[in-house]
Amino acid sequence: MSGFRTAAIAFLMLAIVLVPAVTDESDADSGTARMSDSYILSTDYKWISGTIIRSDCFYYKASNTEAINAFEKCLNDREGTLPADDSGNLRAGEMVRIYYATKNIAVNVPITVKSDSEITDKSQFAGGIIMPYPAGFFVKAGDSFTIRITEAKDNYGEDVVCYVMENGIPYDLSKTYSGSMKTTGEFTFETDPPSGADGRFYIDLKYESTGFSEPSGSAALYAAVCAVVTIAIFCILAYSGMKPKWSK
Amino acid sequence: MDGGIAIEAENLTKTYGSFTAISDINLKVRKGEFMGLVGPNGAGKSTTLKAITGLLQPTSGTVRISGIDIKDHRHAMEHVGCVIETPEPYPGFTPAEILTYTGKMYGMDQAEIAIRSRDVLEQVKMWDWRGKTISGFSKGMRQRIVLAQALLPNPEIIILDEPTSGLDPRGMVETRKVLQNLKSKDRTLLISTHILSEVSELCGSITMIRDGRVIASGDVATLVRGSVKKGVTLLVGTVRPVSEETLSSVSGMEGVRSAEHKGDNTVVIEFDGTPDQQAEVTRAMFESGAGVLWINEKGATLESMYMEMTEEGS
Amino acid sequence: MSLRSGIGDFFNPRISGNAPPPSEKTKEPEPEREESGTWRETGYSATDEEAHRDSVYSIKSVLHQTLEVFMVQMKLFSKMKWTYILLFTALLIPIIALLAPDFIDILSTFGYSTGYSTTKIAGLLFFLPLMLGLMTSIMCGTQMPSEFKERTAYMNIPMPMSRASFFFGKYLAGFVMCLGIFMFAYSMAIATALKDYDTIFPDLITSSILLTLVGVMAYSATAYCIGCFTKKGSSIFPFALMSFIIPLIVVIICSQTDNYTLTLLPMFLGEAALGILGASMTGSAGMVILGNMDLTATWLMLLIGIAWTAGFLLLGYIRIKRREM
Repeated sequence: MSGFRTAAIAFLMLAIVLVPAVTDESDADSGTARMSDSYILSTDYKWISGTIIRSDCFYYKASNTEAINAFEKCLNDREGTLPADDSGNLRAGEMVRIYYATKNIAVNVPITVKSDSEITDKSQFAGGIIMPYPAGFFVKAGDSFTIRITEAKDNYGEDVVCYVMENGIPYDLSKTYSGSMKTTGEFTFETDPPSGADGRFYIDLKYESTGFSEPSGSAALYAAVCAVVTIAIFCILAYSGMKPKWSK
Repeated sequence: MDGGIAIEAENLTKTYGSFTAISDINLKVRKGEFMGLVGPNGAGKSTTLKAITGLLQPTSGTVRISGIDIKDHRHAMEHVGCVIETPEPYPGFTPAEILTYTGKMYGMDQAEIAIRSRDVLEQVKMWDWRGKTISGFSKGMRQRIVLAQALLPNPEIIILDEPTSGLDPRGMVETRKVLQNLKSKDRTLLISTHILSEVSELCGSITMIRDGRVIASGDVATLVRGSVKKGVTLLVGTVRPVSEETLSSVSGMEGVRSAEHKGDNTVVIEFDGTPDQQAEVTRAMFESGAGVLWINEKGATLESMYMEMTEEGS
Repeated sequence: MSLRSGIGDFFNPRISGNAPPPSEKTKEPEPEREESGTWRETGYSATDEEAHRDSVYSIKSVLHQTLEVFMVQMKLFSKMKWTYILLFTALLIPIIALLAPDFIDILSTFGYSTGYSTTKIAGLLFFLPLMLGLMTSIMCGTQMPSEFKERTAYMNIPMPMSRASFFFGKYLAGFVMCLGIFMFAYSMAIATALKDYDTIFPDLITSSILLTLVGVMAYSATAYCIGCFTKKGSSIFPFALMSFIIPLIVVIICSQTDNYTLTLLPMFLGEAALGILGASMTGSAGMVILGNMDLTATWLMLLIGIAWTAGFLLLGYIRIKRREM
């Protein structure tokens, strides 16, 4: 028992020592960021023949489901049709994953399949949902921050005004804004034109800030520490469940 | 040990609101003594034992075990093994696990636990069941395990509350054997039981409780003799009829209330004298020439004393 | 004054010169312990004389006895099916995340910023506040009542140990068991998040784990104490009290007074543990005021939680100490 007790205490000490109480220092930062409150929805469709027509941005036959790849391709393939050479590569019955970007979570995605001989309307339920870019700046509870947005352009390249509402009055973020948060979360802001405008999927920012955090600790280390504590406790459980050797 | 007293209860009282369970119980059990605690149902025997072992706090009075106040429960019970209020072992455990736990609580190491467990489990005839889960045991088997658990740490003092209740006759006999063996090891035993023959067989002294009070306490033989008012009846069987002269002579001896024939070869003598006087009467019968075959004594039993005292009070 | 038994040296195999005469009471033949080195199948060597020696034992310290009670309670847990059911519940985190990744992505529709590792972890631990109440109630709510109901307390309490050892040993086991399950849940959540993220906010994770740890302490102490006052014990009542009744009362009071000081109570430690990671919602009654909680003073929540734990443990201990058996 004493050996096990020593080991158990050692595990706990290791856990306590390894868990840094260091606060993640957030220094003054100036940089760029892409922010989006769009979602990338996806749906699977069994290609039969013809052309898939969508009214929104979409991508097709993606083998990787990386959010950003899908998003970028969505933006590049705005016409919504399969190029002829690609459709020639598709075999009947092959599953195609269609991505599309939207502000709203749509349940039903109307798809129009047009072939040489017919037009067929089909619908698919939205499947996976991914968010390509964070919609705000991460702020830890109790942290104070400042931000000044020096440039903001949307995906059309047009200037966007960013602001926050304070007591019903918009505060332009081209001037330095100070704030703090009682709970951990995202600092988000409004845009003009609003984010719901047609074709608006993201804004590219240039900014100066303090107080926003980026993760820096090793996730694997923390997973290991929690696992070690768990294993230690379950070792105690297993040891306690052992029967005396003379009882066998 | 404090002056050779193993267990001492002074003015022990326990009340529950307006109800008095026990009142001014005084009890002394000497080292090496086997004492029986007897009384009718609801007399307060269990309450007394619970107060002695620290299962409940008395309203007033003190309890000392080996000179240590029971308020210091750990040290007072350090050399005590007890079975109070029909305890149950953990049903999911095996006897080996129960005894290992008990041994560790008493400060035994693994080797001592193993060897002592073998010993006590063999005594209660449960060694072969040491690795089986208790949930499958009968009530009697569980009681044996609990008794083994009490005996495991080789206690100097053993306190048992009706240890043979629920056991079959063989189990009762075997349990009594185990307790008898403790006499040779100079152990102290305080046992509460309804079975008077058990008290007679095991105990040299008794304390009788009724309505929460001690009504008699002391040596069994002395108490029995002292409390039986009607005396004893001696039945004497002879080879030849006893003469009238002999009968008349015996009738006039000290302690003899009456002596008369019962059948041809049997004499009934009503006697309420001292043991020495009884010896004289017996000698007289032997010297009568009638040829004494057997002498039977009736009436001077623990049972009759118990019945008398619990009916009329003391 | 106690003497250590003289048979402490029989770990060393000993061979007696002459085999002792067989005991009259022994029915089976005397085992050949000189050759095997063990006394009658016990696995330890001794002679008959040593085995039947009149030994006197001395009890160990209060701490030692408390740990023995702890180990016995852990043994009881190892034989309970609920232990493994609750462990499996935590195992569902990576299973669902890996087999149904879309399910996790739906969290973003609830306002979770799943672009960050900690919020993803918070999402994976969505039901932590509810589980805090449920698991601690199941493990700790019936510990003490079952001892009296099954009459095993009558085996324990007469032994030479203080009731404090009995009380705190059992509580410690319940707390450690619950802690193990929650640490397992955290390790599963962080490991699952590793699929998408390499880095986390160490201070936030540390705060979250500490809040959960104190939450486990407080919840288990409450369930344990409630159990000390009930005859049959209940898993439902402490769970309902800590996870629904009190939080809803607090929500009503806070919304009426616009004062959220009561959110410092331990009933909201689960919400705080997720809120500190960036959760905007939790699977619990307290999520309604999650956005109004002040997580800048988590140290105060921890202190209040520890004080709550101490208070309930003291209450329960007084009850057990004075309990007439």
